[in-house]
Amino acid sequence: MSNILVRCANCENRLRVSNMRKERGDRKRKIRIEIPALRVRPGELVAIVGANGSGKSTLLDMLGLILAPDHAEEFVLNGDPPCDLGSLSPSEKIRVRRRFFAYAMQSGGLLEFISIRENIRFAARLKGGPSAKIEEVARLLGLEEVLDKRPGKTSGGQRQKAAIACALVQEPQIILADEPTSALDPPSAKKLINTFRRLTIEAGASLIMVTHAWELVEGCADVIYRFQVEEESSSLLRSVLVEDRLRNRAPE
Amino acid sequence: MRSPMLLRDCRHVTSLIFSDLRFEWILSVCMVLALGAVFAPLFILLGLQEGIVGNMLDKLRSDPASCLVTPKFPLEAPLDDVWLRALGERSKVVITSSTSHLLLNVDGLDNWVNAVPTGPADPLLVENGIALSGEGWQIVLSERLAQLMGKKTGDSFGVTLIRKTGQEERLPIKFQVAGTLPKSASEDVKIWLPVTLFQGFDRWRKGHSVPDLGLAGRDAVLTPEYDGVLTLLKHVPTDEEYRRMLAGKMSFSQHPEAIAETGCKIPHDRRVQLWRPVNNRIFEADLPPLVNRHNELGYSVDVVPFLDAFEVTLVSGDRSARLSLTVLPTVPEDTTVDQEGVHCVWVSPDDDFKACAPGEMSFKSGNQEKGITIPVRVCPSSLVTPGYLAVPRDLAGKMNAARHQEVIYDPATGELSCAGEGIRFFRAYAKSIDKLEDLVEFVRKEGERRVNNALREPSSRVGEVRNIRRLAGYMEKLYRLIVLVSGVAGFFAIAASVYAGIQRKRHDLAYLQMLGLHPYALFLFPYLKSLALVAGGVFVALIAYVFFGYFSTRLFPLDAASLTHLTLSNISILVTVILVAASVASLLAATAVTKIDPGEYIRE
Repeated sequence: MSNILVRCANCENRLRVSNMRKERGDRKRKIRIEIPALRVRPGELVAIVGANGSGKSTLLDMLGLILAPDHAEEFVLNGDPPCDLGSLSPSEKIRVRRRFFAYAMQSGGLLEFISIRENIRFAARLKGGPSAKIEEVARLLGLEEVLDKRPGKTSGGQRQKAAIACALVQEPQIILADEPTSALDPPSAKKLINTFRRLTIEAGASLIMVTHAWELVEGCADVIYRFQVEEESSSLLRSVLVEDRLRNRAPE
Repeated sequence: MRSPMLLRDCRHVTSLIFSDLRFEWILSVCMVLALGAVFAPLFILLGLQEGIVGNMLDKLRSDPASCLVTPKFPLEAPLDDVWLRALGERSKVVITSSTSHLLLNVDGLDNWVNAVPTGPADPLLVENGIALSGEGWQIVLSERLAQLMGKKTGDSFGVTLIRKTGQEERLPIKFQVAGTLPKSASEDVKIWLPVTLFQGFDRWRKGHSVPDLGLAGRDAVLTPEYDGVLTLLKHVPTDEEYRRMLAGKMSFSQHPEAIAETGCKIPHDRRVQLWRPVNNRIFEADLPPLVNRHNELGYSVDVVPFLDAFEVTLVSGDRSARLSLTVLPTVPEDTTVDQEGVHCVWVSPDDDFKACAPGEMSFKSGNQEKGITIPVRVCPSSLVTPGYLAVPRDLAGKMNAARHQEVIYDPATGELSCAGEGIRFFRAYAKSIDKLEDLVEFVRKEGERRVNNALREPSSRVGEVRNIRRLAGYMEKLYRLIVLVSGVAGFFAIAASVYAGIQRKRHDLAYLQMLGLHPYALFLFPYLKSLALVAGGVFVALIAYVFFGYFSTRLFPLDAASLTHLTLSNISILVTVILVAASVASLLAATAVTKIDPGEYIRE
């Protein structure tokens, strides 16, 4: 972990990770997740595609400083003075996470005991983001009618949209999205991803989206990474993140 | 940088707590009621402890009689000044007198009325707002007596003093009523006399003059007094006839008893009955009414004064013996007092004293270390039974009187005269009910030292005070035990509910953690929520306590006093203790928050 640094970059890369790996599982069955290289530029939508159990969520955990990798040669976040991430205390990690990242999760997340509007407002306030943006984001995501409803009273798709809204109003540098459209039909999902991407670019953020559906990101992601799983031995699977297609997205 | 962020996060969390409580309002209400059910017994039990025992203690504290200590009955010998001074130092007020009470003949009443000594500082008067001015002849009446006589403060009240030390004398006196004491002070028909008047009347009734009160009498004359009267009858009256004798005003109030041993030989055809007064003495003037009562019912009777267990030492020549003093029904024909003032006394011939030999008889008087010694001439008489010494009736009465007071023997006249009454009774008020036990113990020790039952078993409410204090102690221990049990149960209940709440909110807490909420602020979420519920529980418990107090007081009325009582300080302390315990329990349980991994939210 000594090579994991947060340092001022030349802003070409918002996030750069190289040679990061993590081994998970038990003695009978293990999986080694390897990230030879991952690069996220400002305003980019980076899609990470992989089958279930290939290590997509583990990668998000590591990127969001929730889970420590076993090894990482390089971990560079821009706009921060250099510091050794390995020596960061849990509260400092939380501070870094709060400053750089926002999440849009598959389940929609959200606090069940407050309305969607209050959820979005809470997320904005927590990060010091402007409350005025709430209405606009809600309108663009088609959430006006459910803003005053509690998450439990809305559909899965609306909850996912609300989670995206929560992520956007936090004005992060990188949004980590884990299958944020899984509850929607493919056309709606595609439409939402495009909206999500547009709003992300407008907010000056980058978007790392994890999904198992290749077709969903094809054509709209700037970069697609894919987890390639191979059996190294009877008890060890090796899942390597490979860059599948560079800058594949055609302009809309 | 960190502090403003933490404060901001705490503010956000606080608003979230109230939103969560509102959202789960049914669950919140249930929790508040459940906690209220745990806390309510604590308030109710503390209220009962403070109420029941507190009322009893307050009642004792507010009643001056609770602090009063008196000898069980008037002492036979005076108390010494040193001990009385020590008693005064240990007491709030001490009222000393020569006897415990006087029986006064109140104008307009058939029965005697008890009078006890008092003084301006007597707490019984002070607590009831009665002031004795010290001027004029004032008395205080019990409420019952005042009602009986139709008297109120400032009215005139008539009493007739009677003495029978020679010719019966009656002295009418007018008092002014200084006040009336309520039934809580005494339910009896009773009079409280300023101690100077009390002492003066007592002296006057014993035949003395009291110049300070302008009452005439003979100075220093020792009046013969006896412990009872023996009646010698051919036929003993029936119980009904005795009842009729006792119905009128007489110095006796109980039936006589048959007695076999009198110290003198009684004719075979005579039956002897002993009349004893109750806590009183018999004077010569009491004898004729007793004879009259018998005569009225057709009985011929001889009366002989009786002396109870009066032992004297008789020394004559080389012979010395302890003999019981007695009075003969008829005086032998020998001379009684010779020219040198020497009395003639009679012994049984079987007691081996030389006939008509000079001798000395000695006995203890009052609390004098040295006894009284009287020169006598010893004469054997067949009328006296062995072991007894018969003396002339008047001398026997004076010697008996001398047993209970300090006297002087004048060899020139052969007369016994008073050396002063001395203090034989006191009403000592302890400084507080907490000091009562010490005061009683002080008196009791003096009783042990003097081998005197009057002091060994003093009258006081120490038993009642001790019982109430013991009850208070038991209640407190019981309360502490219940608090301990409830406290442990409440502690675990709160900790468990907080822990369960954290598990239930695991998803939300993981989400908040993932959002980057400060860990301390996250910690506040279950902690403050628990405290809010506990505060609600305390409020419910207080309402339950108020309801309990209201209904219990109506179900079990206690002289208008409430069965439960809690001061603001009691409530504050209890609430503080509950909140502190709840804080600790919540803090411990809230540490479970730190075990929540924000990744749980991502992997959900």
